[in-house]
Amino acid sequence: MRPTPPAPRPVRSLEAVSADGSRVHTEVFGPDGAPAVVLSHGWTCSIAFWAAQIEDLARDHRVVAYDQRGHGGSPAAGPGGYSAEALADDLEAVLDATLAPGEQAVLAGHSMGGMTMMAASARPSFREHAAAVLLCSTGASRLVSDSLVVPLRAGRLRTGLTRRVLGARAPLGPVTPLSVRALRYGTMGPATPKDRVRACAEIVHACPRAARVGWSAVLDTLDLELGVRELTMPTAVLAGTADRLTPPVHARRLAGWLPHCTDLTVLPGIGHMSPVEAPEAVNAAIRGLAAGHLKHAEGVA
Amino acid sequence: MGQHRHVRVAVIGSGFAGIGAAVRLRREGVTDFVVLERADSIGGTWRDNDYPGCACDVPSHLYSFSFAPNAEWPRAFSGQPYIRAYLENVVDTFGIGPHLRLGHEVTSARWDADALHWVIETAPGATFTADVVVSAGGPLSDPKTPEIAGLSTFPGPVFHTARWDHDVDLRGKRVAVVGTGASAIQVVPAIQPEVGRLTLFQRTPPWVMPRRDRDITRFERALHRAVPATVALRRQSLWGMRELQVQAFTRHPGELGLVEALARRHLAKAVSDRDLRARLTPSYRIGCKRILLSNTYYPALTRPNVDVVTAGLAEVRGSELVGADGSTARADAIVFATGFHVTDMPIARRVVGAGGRTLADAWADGGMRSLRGATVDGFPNWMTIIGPNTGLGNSSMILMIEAQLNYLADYLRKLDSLDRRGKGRRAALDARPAAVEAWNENVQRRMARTVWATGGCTSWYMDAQGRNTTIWPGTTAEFKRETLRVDPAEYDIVRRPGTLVPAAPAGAGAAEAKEGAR
Repeated sequence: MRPTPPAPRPVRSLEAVSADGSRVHTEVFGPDGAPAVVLSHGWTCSIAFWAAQIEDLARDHRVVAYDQRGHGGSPAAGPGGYSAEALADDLEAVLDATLAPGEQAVLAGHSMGGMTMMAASARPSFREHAAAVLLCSTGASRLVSDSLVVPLRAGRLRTGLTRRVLGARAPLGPVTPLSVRALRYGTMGPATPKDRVRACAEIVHACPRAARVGWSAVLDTLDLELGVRELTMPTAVLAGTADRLTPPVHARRLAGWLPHCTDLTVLPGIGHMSPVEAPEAVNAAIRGLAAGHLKHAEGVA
Repeated sequence: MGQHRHVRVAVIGSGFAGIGAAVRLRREGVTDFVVLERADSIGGTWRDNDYPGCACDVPSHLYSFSFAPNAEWPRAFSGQPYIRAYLENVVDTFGIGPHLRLGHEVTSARWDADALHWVIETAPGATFTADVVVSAGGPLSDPKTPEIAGLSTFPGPVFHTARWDHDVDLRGKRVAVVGTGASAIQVVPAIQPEVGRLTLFQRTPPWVMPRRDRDITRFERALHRAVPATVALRRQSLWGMRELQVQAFTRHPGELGLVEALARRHLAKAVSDRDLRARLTPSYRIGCKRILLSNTYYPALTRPNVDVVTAGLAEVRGSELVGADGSTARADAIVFATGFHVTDMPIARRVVGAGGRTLADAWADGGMRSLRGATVDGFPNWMTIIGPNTGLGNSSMILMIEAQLNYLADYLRKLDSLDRRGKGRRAALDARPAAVEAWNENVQRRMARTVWATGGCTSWYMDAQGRNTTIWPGTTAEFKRETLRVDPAEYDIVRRPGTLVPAAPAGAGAAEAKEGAR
């Protein structure tokens, strides 16, 4: 596996229209008619975050990826436009715009993208299309108080400081060796190759400040625990042991709450950016769900 | 009459639990709620129990809300009028008045499984529908009076301490007091000096410890006003002492012998008559029944106008009272200090759950049971404050109430987010039977070694089958931890029939997929 694959070219790109009229930039990769996979990225990322998944899966899957509102090619939302409901609205819009009625897909979400799945779990389009779900390096609640970004014992002080770090309004500025190190400390495992860290830094630094700050306020108080209880389709959970943002305690809780958890994978030494740090494992998890739960998938995969 | 209103939350009762719930709701940003109160004023237990001498046996600075500290408590153990006034003050301070519906006795609360809300009928005829019901009626609300043969033949006044008849002048009268619990030991010394003769019917003697009561000095009160942190400090130290004590009750009942020695000395100091002392000495482990605090109870019993009958009241023949031991006494008035319907909460007969069953029916076989003292399977979006196994033997119930309010707040937050994400497809939460079972098993397993189970007594903590469904067998800190948040694994999400599209059945992984589509 090459560390940073060149961005694959979409076969189609479109703007899905969300419930409040927001446009959601969406790209479709891979052959028509192949089993469908939908990718939902996390906070401060974009479609480019999924490069390694798209490159591999698009060979024999139809891969749909979209930019969460305010990120990548999706414009910033107005005041009040950032919420768990908006996450669900946007995903529904993407599903309706890219999948045929009744068409099934494997839905994979990383971090805030995983929270998107939890937020949408009771939505009609979601239930119509989601054959199986992968929750990657994510959590449902207590994101600030359980984060290990600030190296202190759990408590009010750590929670307060973490809130300041994650909610910081300061611009990230250009990608520098220092900012790359800071990003690796906060979000990636210690053994991550430099070029992958660098690629991630470029994606994160490209995130508009307003979206970063707006979404961080949503994540601060987010509680999607009951949304997890309504993810009734087969769902796999994946996390890294070196994840400081959503440490594996979240994954274990998710596995306990999910009505139908098919698998809990905990990857040693991997940080928060599992799709970039451990693309083989993430791709294998998605392929496994597609093979197990999508019609026609066996023949193709 | 006949009005109808829908609210997000209906709170039943306006005692400490109900008023505390109301304040918490407002602080959580929930303003769409009513507090239904059957009487014409608020205060619950502290409104009803206005018998002479009534005070709380938990120090006032601990027996108050953490969010409403009161620098003005007049005594270490303040009297009932002060406690009632405190609650009234909380109502005013936090703007609860507009939510109160006084004179609204709840006659029935029925779960509507199609509409996903509770339908509440009240005695004056007003009906309410509520997404969530907070049942804060409390365990000490409905007085319990024993069935005594011939009681109707008694010519004089008969009343319960919790329904004191202030029109009756007891001065110079022969008064019989039935019971020796927390109410009796306060009312006996209060009325003894003025009644002609006082006959006390005692089935079981209580353990009585010195009451370290005193006025809170003007200086202390001024300090508390000037430096509010000193109120918190005082509260913390009162809490800490009790938190340590409870370990002896729950884990090491064998070590309570020392406390018994202190109580024996307290008795010996006040009662020199050997025979009376023997009759007042309990034969069970201290703590098994509630430990009572009084410096005046024993001295009152030694007065010449007091008789202690060491038997229950068995029969009444006109104005002659017959003890279970055959002794007789004449009386002009009877006061029942016989406690409350604790393990058979009357409200349970008025609550009808999802299966059309009343809560009383649901509890008929296994006794009162709940999940974390709050919720019961089959009764979606219904929550008790001071529910099963949340009582304390030695510390402030306000601590338990506030812990349960944390749980209520998280419950409402989660329910709210569920509703919003469902885009108008409303939802409710129903405790999973297995979770209720597991919680209850754990409580009862821990109960087994406590003094309440091993102390060799029967107490009001026990139900008719001998199960302790009343007491929390741990520290208040533990309970607070256990009720900080709602664990989603312990609940099923209930949605309106047909509003949640079943997850589409998948193709290839047939077996798994079908399971997922339940």
